[in-house]
Amino acid sequence: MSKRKILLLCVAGSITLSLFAQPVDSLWARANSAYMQADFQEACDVYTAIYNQGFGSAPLYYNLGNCAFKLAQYAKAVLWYERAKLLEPQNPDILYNLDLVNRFCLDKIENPPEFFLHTWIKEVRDSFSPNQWAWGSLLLLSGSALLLLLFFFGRSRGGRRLAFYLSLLAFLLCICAFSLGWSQKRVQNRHDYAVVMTSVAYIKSAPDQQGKDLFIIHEGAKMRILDQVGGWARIELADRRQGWMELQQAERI
Amino acid sequence: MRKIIVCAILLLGVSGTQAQTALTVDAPRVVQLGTPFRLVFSVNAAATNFTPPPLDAFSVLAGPTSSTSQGQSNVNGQRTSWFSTGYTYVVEAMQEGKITIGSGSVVVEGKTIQSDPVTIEVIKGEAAPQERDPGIPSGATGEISAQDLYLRLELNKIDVVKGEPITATLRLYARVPVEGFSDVRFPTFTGFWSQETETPSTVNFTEENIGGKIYRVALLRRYVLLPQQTGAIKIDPSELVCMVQVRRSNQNRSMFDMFFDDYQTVRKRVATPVQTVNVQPLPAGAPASFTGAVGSYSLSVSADKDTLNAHDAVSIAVRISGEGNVNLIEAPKVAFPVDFEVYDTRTTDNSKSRGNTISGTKQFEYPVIPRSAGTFILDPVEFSYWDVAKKSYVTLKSNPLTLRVGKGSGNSSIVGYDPGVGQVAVRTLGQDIRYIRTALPALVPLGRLFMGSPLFWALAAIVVAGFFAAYQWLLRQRARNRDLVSVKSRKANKQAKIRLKRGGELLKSGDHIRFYEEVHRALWGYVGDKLGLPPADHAKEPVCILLRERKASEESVSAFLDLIESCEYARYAPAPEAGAMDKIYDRALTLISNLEQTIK
Repeated sequence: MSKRKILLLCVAGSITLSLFAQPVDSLWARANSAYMQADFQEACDVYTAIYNQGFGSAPLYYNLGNCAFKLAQYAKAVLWYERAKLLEPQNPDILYNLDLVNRFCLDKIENPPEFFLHTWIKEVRDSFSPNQWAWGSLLLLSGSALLLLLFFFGRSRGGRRLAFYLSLLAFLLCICAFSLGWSQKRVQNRHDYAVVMTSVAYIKSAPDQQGKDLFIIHEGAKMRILDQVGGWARIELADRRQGWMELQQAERI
Repeated sequence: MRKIIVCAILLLGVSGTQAQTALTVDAPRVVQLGTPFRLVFSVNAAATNFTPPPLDAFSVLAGPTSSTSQGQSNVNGQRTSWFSTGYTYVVEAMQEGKITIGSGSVVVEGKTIQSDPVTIEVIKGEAAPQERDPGIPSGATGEISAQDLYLRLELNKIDVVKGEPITATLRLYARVPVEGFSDVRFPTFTGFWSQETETPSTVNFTEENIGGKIYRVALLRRYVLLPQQTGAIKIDPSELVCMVQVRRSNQNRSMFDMFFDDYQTVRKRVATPVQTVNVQPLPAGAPASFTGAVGSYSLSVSADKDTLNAHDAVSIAVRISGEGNVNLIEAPKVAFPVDFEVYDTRTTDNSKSRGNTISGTKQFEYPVIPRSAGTFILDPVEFSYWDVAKKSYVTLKSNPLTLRVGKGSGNSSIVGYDPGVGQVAVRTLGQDIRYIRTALPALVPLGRLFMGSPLFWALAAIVVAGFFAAYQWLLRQRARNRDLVSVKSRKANKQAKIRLKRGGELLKSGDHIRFYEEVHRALWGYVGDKLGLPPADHAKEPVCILLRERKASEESVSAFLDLIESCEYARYAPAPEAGAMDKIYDRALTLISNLEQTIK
């Protein structure tokens, strides 16, 4: 292969690469301005392009949800808001819009009351992202180590005692932070919730078209996927009702 | 026939008293050639000097015969008297066609009054014989055909759009003498909104030429109809029973009977045929403000005041005037600012049905009370209608109305109550999703998290490893620190020896004066260097204080003072005994070594 050919190939390759990977910030600005001019379809396309480049973040999902809502695609809006909520579970904007878009969905599914301790722990867990928990646990681990050194090599008796207890506390907190972060990470990566995308979905008693119809749910309903057999998924609604539905009718959060 | 004419003359006379003095001409509109008829000029006052119009086209058979009549009437205690003068001709038309009779005139109380010209149509007619000719039936026999007497409901149009006004006229056509009516059933216009526009209290016949025949036509009712449904709407027939005078058709009439008119009254039922109106729906594409108005309109919006105070009432009037289904117009929507309290709309309908259409004004009054101050611009009021003539929708738009609302006087009703009484919860006007987030977020590749990543574990491992390393290092450091005392004393001895090196040499040579001088200088030098004092400040008391501050032991301080004194004393003393210099030297050595260890 001659030198010129190699050069040509390199140039061609770099051009295609630059086209593929347009700078994300310019795409972001383009989508924002399209949204401001009420061109929601264009905004939706550009945000999706960012997503397709393999990037994710709560604001991106939130904006995609807004675009879908403005285009009256409520199931899609629910999907994107739920994805955003996974990353930022306590963001008031996401919760507000999700609540609003849920009112446009047909199904009203009652959430059974949760044990209060569980709610508290969840709230504490959700107040930081997994990465923040990770950094926090590292910080606590270092603090605990320093305090332990102080305990070993401290001069005054009282100070050494205090350092020992503080070190113990820091270590326990470190374990807590780590487990909360880890659990949140697992929740984010589990992808076991899904949103119905077709206008009506029949929930059957068996993973089979001949199965008896148990109930129907509509576009935008959220459910948990418990099991998967072929193209069928065993699902559970928030009110504990279970059944089988074809997976292609839903999209995982 | 004659009776009716007399009746009409009388009626004219009665009505004349209310009207101004006028000369009226009473003549049939249509006559047959060669048939005599009456031509009456009448005036509702005592008149003189009647000048008839030229009547060249007619042959005057009789007249003018003048007559006067007067009377009084007492209606509800109101006395009215009337007086009438009439001049009657009996004439016969000489030729066919339309003949106009010019103006005649009379003099009433010195004023000349002229009549309006009248046009009479003369037709050839059938082979109409003389009315008085015996043996030939006059007008009617026992049989009354459908052509002789019929009822018609005449519609001015049959194909309309929904809401377009139609005029319906109910007329009776007769060629036979009609004496009276009974069992009248007027049409019920189902599917229409209907209004009677003409309901004559008496039945007035007028002659009309229909197909070359003279009919006497009476207008019974006139309606304006507004279709409310679409499709083919049928109008039910209306019915009427007429009392008709007919000549008895008795075959065996006696000879005497032939000299008398032998009439009898026959009941004849007539009915209108069923008629169908095709109502088209209004075409699609109506503007948002269209509520069904059809016709042609104008719109005006006004407020009874444009400057007012908060909590004062103001009335916004929307006036729609024009022709069409005015009475069915609905109140147009007026977009008031949110802080305006709007009360029930008051509607005034001034529409009148006149002739063919309904026209007039419909006014909508919106009483409002602004609850906050400021300048408010009311959006233009929109009103749309279907223009029948243009066959399109027309949208009228008023000018925007500006209301200046002042703060309100200080003694408004709210003042005087507790503060907060007038507070109102913030009202929600609508709901929408919250706006997008515009700040560029930290975009991370999907599925990549620091939590649980190799970097995280590496950092954790570094922390743990760092802990153990620090622990080991500190352990070693502590072990070394344990030897530090001996090290220090070693260092101090070394220092003392350096300082007292010359003293040691002099000690060996036995030069006691220079020896003490040297030890004295070495001690001061050492302490001065340690405390950072220049030689000029070498005095015992401050040095002692400084030494104590630097945590020197009390023995060392007293030993230092003692040694300095000993040296100063021994310099001027005779040669000391043998071991004294050695003692001083050892004590100086010990002192410096001690100070070196204790002073910080």
